[in-house]
Amino acid sequence: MDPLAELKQTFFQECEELLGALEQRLQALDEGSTDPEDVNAAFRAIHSIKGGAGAFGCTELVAFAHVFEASLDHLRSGRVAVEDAPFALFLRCSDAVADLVSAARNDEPARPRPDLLEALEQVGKPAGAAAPPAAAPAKPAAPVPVAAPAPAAPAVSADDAPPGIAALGNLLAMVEAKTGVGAPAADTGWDDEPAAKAASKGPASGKPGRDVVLKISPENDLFRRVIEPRVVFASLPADDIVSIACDLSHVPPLETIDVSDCWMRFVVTMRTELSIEEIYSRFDFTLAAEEFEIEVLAGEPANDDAPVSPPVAAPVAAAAPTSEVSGSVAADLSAILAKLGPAPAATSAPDIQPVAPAVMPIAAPAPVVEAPAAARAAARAPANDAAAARQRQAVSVRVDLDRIDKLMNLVGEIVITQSMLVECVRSLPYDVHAAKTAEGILTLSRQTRELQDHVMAVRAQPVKAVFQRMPRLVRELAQTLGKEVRLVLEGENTEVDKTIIEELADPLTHMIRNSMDHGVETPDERIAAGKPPEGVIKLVAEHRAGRIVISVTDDGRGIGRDRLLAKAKSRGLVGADEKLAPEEIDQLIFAAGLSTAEVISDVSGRGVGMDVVRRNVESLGGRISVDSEPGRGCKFTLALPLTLAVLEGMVIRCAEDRYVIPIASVIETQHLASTPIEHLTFGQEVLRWRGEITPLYRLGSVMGSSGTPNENIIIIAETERGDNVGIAVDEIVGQQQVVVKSLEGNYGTVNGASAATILGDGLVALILDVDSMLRLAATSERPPATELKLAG
Amino acid sequence: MRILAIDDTKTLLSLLSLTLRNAGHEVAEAENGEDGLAKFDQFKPDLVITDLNMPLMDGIEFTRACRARPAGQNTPIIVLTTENGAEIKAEGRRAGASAWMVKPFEPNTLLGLVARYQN
Repeated sequence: MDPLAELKQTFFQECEELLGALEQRLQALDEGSTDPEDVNAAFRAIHSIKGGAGAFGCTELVAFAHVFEASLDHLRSGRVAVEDAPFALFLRCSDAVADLVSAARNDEPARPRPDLLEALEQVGKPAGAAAPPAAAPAKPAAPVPVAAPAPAAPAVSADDAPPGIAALGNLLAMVEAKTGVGAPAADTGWDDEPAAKAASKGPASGKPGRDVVLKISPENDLFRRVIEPRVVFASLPADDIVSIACDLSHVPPLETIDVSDCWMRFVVTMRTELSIEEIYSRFDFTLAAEEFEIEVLAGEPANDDAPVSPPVAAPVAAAAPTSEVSGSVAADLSAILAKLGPAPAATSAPDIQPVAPAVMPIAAPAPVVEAPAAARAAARAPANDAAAARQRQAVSVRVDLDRIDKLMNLVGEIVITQSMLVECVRSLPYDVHAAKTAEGILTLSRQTRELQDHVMAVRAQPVKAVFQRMPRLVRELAQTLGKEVRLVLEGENTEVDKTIIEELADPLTHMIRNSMDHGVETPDERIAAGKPPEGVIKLVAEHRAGRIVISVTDDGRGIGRDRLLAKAKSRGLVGADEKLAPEEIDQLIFAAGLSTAEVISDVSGRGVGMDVVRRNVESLGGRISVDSEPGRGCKFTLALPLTLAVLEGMVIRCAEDRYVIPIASVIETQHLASTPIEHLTFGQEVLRWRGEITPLYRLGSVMGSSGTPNENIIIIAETERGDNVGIAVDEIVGQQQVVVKSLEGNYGTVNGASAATILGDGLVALILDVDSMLRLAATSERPPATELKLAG
Repeated sequence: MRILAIDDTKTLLSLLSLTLRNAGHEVAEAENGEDGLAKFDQFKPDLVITDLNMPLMDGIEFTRACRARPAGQNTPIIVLTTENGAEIKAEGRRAGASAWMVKPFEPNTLLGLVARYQN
C-alpha cells in the first residue's frame, strides 16, 4: 500500500476514536455536565476530523464538519451558554458525521443532511438577529500596540544572544544611513534579496498593470515574530516590484534602541496586475491590516476593484497611535536603562558589533518580566498536574493485531513446552539435580502463567468499543418507535479479550432492540402506568468469577407471560395443559420462532430473535438468562468467558485417547460403578441423576476412540439447552488451562469437537463440544480417528 | 532544514512529515504544544510548523512559550490550521507567529512557504 493510502486508513481509524470521544463528550454534556473540558474535547474531536478529512479530500465530510465545528465553537467561546445548547441536535450531527466518515471510507456517496446543517447554522443566532460582525476586519489598532511591550519583555534574558540578531546587519546599514531619511533600497543591504534585485531593474514601463505604492509600517515586534522584511517582500511577485525604499526616520537614537525592535518602514513601488484585494491577501498574516497601506497611482485598473481599499480603511487612523506607542516604548526603555546605570558608550557604528552582546543584558528589563512570568507559572502549576495525569493516560502504542496473535501463539507454545518439562521432571529419579530442576521448572511455570496473563492483558480491550455503538442505536430506535429512552452505560472500561469483543456486538444489539421494542412502553403508556415518560435502559458490564457479565436492564412492562405462553402453546412448544412456573415461561423467550410483538415492526420481529442470541452466546461458551417482573421491567444477563484463546478444561482419558471437556460444561462427576444404569428399549442407556432421567453416552464409542475403553467415571455435563447428559469416560487426568487451537484452520471440522489443544506431552487432544457430541451420537457418525492421529 | 512539526492528529502529522521529508527536510514530530516545547529543546529546529487546536497546550500558547525562551526567539513559526478568522490570526500575530497557513495544505504551497525561511 502506498504511504498515502495507508495514512488514509489510519485516519479513518482515528476518526472512529474521535467519533467515540465526540459522542461521549456530547452525551456527558447532554446529561448536564458543565465541564469546559467536555466542550473543548468535543470541539477538538470534530476539528481533527475536519482537518484530516480536508487533507484526504473528503469534501462532504469537511463541509459538514465545518458547520458543526462552528456551532460547537459558539459554546467554546461562550457565545452560547452550555445550558442552552441543543445537544440532542449535536448528537444527531455526530451520528451524521459517523455516516459521512463511513461513506468516505467505503467510497460511497454521502447522504446530504441539509436539515441538520440548517439547524446547526441557527445555533448561536438569536432569533432574528443580524449577521455576526464578521465584516469588520479593520479593528481599532490602539489596544494592540499598547499590549505589545508586555510580551516583548520576556524576550530578553541575561545571558542569551539578543533577539533579532539576524537583523543586525540590516540595522547597521540602517544606522549608517540614518542621516539620509528615505534612503533608496540599494543602500540598505538588501542586495542579495530577490526583491532588491527587482528593485534595481528600474521602472518597468512596458509592463502591463498599474503603478501601486505600498507603504509598509510594520509594528516594531516584526523581528520577534521572526519575520524579516525580505519574507514580507517575497510575498509579492518579484517581477512586479519596481523599487523598495526604506524609511528610517522612526529609528530612535542608538543608545535607546533595542535591536529586537523593528523601526524600519518601507515604501514599495510596484507595477502589477494584482488587484488590491489580492495584494492584501498576500500580506494576510505576515502584516496586520494596520501595518500597510495601498495606494494606486496610475495605470489601467487591473480588475473591477475601486481605487479605494476597503479592507485597509483604517491605516491612516492607525498610524498615529502606532507612532505614539513607539515613542512610549522608547521612553520605557530609556527609563529602564537609566535605572540600570549609565548607558555604555556605544554611539559609533564601528563599535556596535563587539558591544552589542554586552548591551543586551543591560536591556534585560527584569522587574518588568517577573510579575507576569511568575503569575503565569503560578497559574500553570495546577494545570500541569492535570495535564501530566492526562499524559500518563495517553501513552499508548498501536500494535498490529497480527503481531499480538503471533505473540499469543508463541506463549501458547511456551505453556506447552513448560508442561512437557514438568512431565519430564516427574519421571526423573529423585536426586539433588532433579530437585533443583523441579524447583526451576516451578518458577518457570509461574512465570509462564504470568507471561500468558500479560499477553492476554495486551489483547484485552475495554467493552467500550462495543458499548459506544449503543447510544446511537437507542437514539435512532427511540425516534423510529416514538419512545423516550435514556441509555445508561456502566463499566465500559471492563476489559475482555478481543476475541470476545468481536462477538459481543450482535447479542448486545439484539438485547437492546428487544428492550426498546418489547420492554419500554410508549410515553403515554408509561404515564398511564404511573412511570416517568422516559424509559431507562441500563447496560452494565462487570467481571464476575472469571467471566464477563453484561446485563441489559429496562424499566418497561416486563415479559407478557400470558401472551408468551399462549403463543408457545399454539406453536406446540409447550403442551396445551402443561403448567409452567413464571420463570419457566420467561425462559420461553429464548425458544426458537417466538416473537410476541403485536405489530411486526422494523425493529424486531424479523425472525431473528432472542433464540439466535442464545445460540450465538452459547456457542461462545457463554450463557444468557432473563429475569422479568411484570410491569416493572426486565433484565437480560449475558455471561461470557473472558477469552476464547485459553480455556479452563478437564482433561479426561478414554482408552488410549485424551480429550478436554470445558470446565464450564461440567456439572458433576461420579463413579460409574455406584450409578444404576437402565436401558431403554431402543438401546439408549439412561441414569437417574437427582431424580431425573438423564441419557448416558460412552465417549469411547461416540468419538470412536482407539483401544478398548474401560469406563469408570461419569461426567454430568450440561448442554446449551440446559439439559443434562452423562458421559462415561475411563479416567479424569486433571484440570488445566489449555490453549485453544482452531481445528478448522489447521485440519478440518471434527464432529463432536470444537477445537483442539496440545497437552504437556506434546500430543493433540480434542476439546469436546457437548452439543456437537450429542448430535454426533444421534447420527452415529464417526470421526476419522486414524487420520486424526496422524495429524497429531 | 530541521523542522519541528506539531499536530495532535497523528495522520495529519504523518502527512506533514512525509511531505517535508520528501522535500529533504529533517523532521521531528510532536503531538501537542507541551510535547512540542520538549522536542524544541532537544531537536533545536530551524523552523516550526504547528497546529492551533491541540490538547494540553495549543499552538498560540506554544508560540508564546517558544518566543519566551532564548533559543526560540529567532525560529520562524508557521501556524498550520483550519482556522482563518481575523481575530485568531491577530492573536497568533501577537503571540509571535511568523506565518499562517490554512489547512488543508497543498504540499507545494507549504514547501514554498518553508523555502522562504531557508537561508
